[in-house]
Amino acid sequence: MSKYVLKRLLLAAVTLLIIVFVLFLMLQYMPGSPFNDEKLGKEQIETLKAKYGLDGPIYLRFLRYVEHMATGDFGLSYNIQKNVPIAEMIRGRLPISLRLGGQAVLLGAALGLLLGVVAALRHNTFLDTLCTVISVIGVSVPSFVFAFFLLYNLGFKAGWFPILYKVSLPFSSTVLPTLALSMFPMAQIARFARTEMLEVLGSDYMLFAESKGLTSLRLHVCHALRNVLIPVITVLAPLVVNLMTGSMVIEKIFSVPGVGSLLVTAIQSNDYNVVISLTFIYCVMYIGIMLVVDMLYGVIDPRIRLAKGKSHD
Amino acid sequence: MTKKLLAGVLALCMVLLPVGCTKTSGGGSAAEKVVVNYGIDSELASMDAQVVTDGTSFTIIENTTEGLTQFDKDSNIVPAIAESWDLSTDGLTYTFHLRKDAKWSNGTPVTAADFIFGWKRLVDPNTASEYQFFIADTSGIVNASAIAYNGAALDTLGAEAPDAHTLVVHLERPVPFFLSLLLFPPMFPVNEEFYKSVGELYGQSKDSVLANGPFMLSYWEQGGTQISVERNPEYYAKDEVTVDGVNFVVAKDAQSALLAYKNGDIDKVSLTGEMVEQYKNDPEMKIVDGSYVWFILANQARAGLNNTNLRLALATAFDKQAICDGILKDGSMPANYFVPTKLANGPDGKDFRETAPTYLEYDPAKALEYWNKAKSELGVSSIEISLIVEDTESAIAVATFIQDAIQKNLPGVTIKLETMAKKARLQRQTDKDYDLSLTRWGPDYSDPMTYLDQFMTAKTSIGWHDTKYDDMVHEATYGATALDAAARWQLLKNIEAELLDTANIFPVYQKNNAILQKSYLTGIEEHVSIGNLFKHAIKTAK
Repeated sequence: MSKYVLKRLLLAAVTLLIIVFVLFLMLQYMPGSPFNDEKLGKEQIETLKAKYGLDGPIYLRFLRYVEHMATGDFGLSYNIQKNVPIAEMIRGRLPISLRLGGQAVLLGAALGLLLGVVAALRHNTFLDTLCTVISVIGVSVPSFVFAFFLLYNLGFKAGWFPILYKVSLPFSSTVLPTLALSMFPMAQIARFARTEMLEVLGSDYMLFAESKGLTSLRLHVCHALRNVLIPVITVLAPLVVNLMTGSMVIEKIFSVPGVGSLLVTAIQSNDYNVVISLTFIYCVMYIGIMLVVDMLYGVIDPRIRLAKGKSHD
Repeated sequence: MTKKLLAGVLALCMVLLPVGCTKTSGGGSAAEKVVVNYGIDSELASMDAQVVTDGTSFTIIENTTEGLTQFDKDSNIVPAIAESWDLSTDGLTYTFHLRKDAKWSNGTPVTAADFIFGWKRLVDPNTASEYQFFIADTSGIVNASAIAYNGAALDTLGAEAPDAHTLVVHLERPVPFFLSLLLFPPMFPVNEEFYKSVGELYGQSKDSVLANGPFMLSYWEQGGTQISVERNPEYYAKDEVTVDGVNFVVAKDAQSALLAYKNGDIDKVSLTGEMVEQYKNDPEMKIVDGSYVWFILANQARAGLNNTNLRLALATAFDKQAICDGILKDGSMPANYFVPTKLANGPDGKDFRETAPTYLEYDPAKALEYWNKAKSELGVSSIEISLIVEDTESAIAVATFIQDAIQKNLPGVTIKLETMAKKARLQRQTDKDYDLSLTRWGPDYSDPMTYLDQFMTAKTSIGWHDTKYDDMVHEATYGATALDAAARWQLLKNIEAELLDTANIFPVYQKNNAILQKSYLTGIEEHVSIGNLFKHAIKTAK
């Protein structure tokens, strides 16, 4: 098992390196510079570039950069927070985004499972149709539409939650963005859960378990749900990525000081180091989640664990 | 089973809702303190005055720091840290007498040495300031240019402090607008001892910068969406400050910002696009004077644009008033000029624009005449010209209007629009890879020269080589005319005429901005070349 983990980690590291290099290349060919192109003359920009180490051949700059990154030095921001170490900028903002994303995933997964399971258990009834309708809406409507809907009704009209992120109300400020972000995951998971649950409910081992006289709760939670979770977890990984990108829009709308809005600003102002650092972090998170999901399979599905074990004998 | 599930859902709701159910009141201010909540659209980048370039940073720095001079509410230059000054008869030596009661927020006095230290930082190539040109090219201070570009030693900068409250500045040439340069952040003082004590962290947090102005930073989280300033108890005129503090609230999305305004969370919000039309009759809607002028750059190396009649035809073929009234609708004004209104007053005390002529007014009949002449001179019956424009809503709308108008009024002319990101457009301009480009220019200081000197042969990207223009600009800066304020003012008008008479650029409009501001908030000082000043703001509600 540990050989497998090591192999996966190595693969992940190589993938990350390639991603960073491709990114580095793309940013070099973006027009303009991180500096005030409107006002500065060509010579002045060249001088600034030399000052910030942006001159010289690409491969040298890239190697210099990787060297710094390996020691946790992501470099300085050019214009968003002038000359501030990016590691510090991200340290302040990442927890907020992670919290938002985490809350959205948990809420979405919980509600989605609930909806899907209920729909399956009450198959072909009104409840089933209702759950399906909710899922379709959740998948089709973009998160920012939900965001404005919630913002207007619960934030402005009812006044229950702040409209713009308030530092003095950290939990309250994340409720609306979380709800908006959780719609899509909830809908996706609901659909998968429903399908899987129906399949599981119709299988022969469930019939056997029921005939043993197990209580409804034990039957559905211990036996059915566990089988449903496998495909649901498969879907969860790409959903988390979807959250990372969706959070950029949501963070802008609610003025949340997270990494999503920072990435958008960095792209618009050509703050190269920030763009590369954040994309790197996103990639790390994505690859990390895939790895975790892979591990989880082993825990949840004994068949995989056993199969792996057998192959090592 | 479903009953248990339902119970679980209800429990979840009961946990979530009450925690969020706080009817939010606006502002978050204490009961007695009066604090303005001001909506802005970008975060504070840095409090290092010599290094910042963005509007938000400038505004906050201008409210917490003062230079030698400042604007009064009518944009006249009045004393600030310098309580008086003398100018030698040859216009080359300023002697500033500093107030003895000006202090930094840590209690140390503001001295002449602080200004010299700040200026040295600005001109030092190691600081890599994007505003280095301010001192190296514009200010005319002795050796500033040599230090910036030719490796001269920092100590040779032409400024000295014979005592703590006297600052003597030597200029290489008379600079009529020198006093107006001193109220911009790049020329602000920096306390050297404090700077050395915080080192690299200078300007990056509220504890790593000092204030000598009406306010000081009280809250600023790294990358935070709220920046707060409060009264500075060490300010020499602290009793004249009428408001206890300002919360700058970052709201990048226009819709959310508007909702926050209506909810009372912020006292001012900017209006853009469709919203301007929606709120045009709202009593709280205000038009704020701006000074950015949008114009079309014409690259004379391409597409026959070196033909004067063609340029004149294009420049006069679109209705600028219609653009302002029909497309922008935000109080922007048609620009039949290049130097904007309310930028600078002349020796006659009047705004430049009041006594300077207008050019290139919309005249479709005349435009057609020019086009016919151009056709015979160029030996063509039709021509295709591309117009590059950035991909913002308003820029595209304006460019499309201009394209339509030109194609309609000048049959045979085809305008091809190319939209791209702003940085891409700027790059194309620098590379001289364009025919026409819709662009803008804003002021760096309060004198018409900030608009006019960019078209000198060495600097420009319009492929126009007019030695007469270069000579005129040189004369107004270095020549004998520079010493005579009235003659210089007239020369500046002549320079603008030289630029526009033959339509070397096509001005379009002068941008004003529409905002909503609560009626209980007044007294904010607005100036076209610097940010808003809050020290005399009055907020009567909440």
